[in-house]
Amino acid sequence: MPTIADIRERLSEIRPPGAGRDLVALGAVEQVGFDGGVVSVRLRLPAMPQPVVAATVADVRRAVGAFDGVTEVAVDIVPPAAAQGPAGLPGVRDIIAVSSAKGGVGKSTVATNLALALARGGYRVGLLDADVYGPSVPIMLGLSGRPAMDDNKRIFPLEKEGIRVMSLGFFLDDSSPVIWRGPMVMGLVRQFLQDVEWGELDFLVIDLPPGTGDAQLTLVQQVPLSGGLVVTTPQPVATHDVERGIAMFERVHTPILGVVENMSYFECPACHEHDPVFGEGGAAAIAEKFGIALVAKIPLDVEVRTGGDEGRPIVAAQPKHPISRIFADLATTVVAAVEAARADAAPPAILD
Amino acid sequence: MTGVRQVDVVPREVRRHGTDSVEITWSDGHASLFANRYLRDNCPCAFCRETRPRYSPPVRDAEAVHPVTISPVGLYAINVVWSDGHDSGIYSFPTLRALCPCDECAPAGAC
Repeated sequence: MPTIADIRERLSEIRPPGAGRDLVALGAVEQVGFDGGVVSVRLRLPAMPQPVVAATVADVRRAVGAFDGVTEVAVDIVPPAAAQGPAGLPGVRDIIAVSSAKGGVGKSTVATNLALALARGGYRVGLLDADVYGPSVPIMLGLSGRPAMDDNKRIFPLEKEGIRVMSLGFFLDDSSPVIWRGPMVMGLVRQFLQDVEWGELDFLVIDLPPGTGDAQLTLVQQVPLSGGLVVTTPQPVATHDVERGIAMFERVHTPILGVVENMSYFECPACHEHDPVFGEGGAAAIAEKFGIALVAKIPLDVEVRTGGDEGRPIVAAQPKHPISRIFADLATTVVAAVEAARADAAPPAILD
Repeated sequence: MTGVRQVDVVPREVRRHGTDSVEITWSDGHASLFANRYLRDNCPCAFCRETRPRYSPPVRDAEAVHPVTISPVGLYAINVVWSDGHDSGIYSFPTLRALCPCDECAPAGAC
């Protein structure tokens, strides 16, 4: 019959995949009990992909169940304490804003495929289409339908391809353009942040409206962003616009995770030569000037465009496509960059 | 990793000391002690910025004022709701640091 100490020691031999340390070293073991042959273990794991959580629980059951006299192992997983301070969204661990200085650079494509890539990596992901001027996320994902609302005025996001999605586009009845004035935008953004029942998320990706204005400022004031991505195209002439976007993030102390260069080049299907259709070097120049990493270069590809138009983004439709791999790498980079920025990103503790 | 833009020095703790003052402990180890009246008088909101140079009421005994609530604004500022009802000030971290009245930041004798 094991003692509690024996069980704890057994738990110290279990290392969740990718965590680098065992459960005891991680401080994850909250409680261990043993009564009438039943071991109960309560773990508070750091945020990690669901498959890793499941594998860890299985390891615990197997390891602890091997003791003589143990008939059952009950494992209780407590969600990680929200990393956000008092101004954060409860249940949402990290919020990433995807911005561009102007429309047409492919920001929504990047935001959507990044969200899908993060979800394929095992994270729980939400996608908020805050682009009130041109909400294209519903088209890109082939999603339509009015989100449900409960008696408490909570709005429920739609789900597709493993991500939870909210967009103004779900509430527009026809395709007539809505002329948005400042206070309306701010109210809408606030509602999408506070009244949507996102549930527990590891990442909320926000597709910002292009430019730097009321919606962006409202967002950065309402919630602490774990980081921002700036999407641009390679033309040197686009640099000036992007500088404004970066200046906005810097002004509100949002860590900039990197610059994404979209429509970087066109690969000739016959000779595989890279043709820089939209110019060269713009994103690299920005990255160097501001000391920000150029985290992805996404080439022009007919399949990305048609996928978006037809409601099957490339990461979901063709996960093995080279561009899907680029998005998978971008997701990995974003996760690491968020961690790197985390220490400085916490709001101050307000004490008496 | 290289290339992640780090933020400047930020407050780790904002501590109210009774009804007298607010103390901020910064990420670089510096500590700032702000008398409430000083902080209120340097409110950075647009209204205060506009009216302060134009109108200074005669000060006999400056009305005592203290923060009722202090809350973070995004990741870059704090908002103070003052006991005199004023609540529109968003004090960004660089603004707060520039306001630090200690001898190191604002040597006595500097105008």
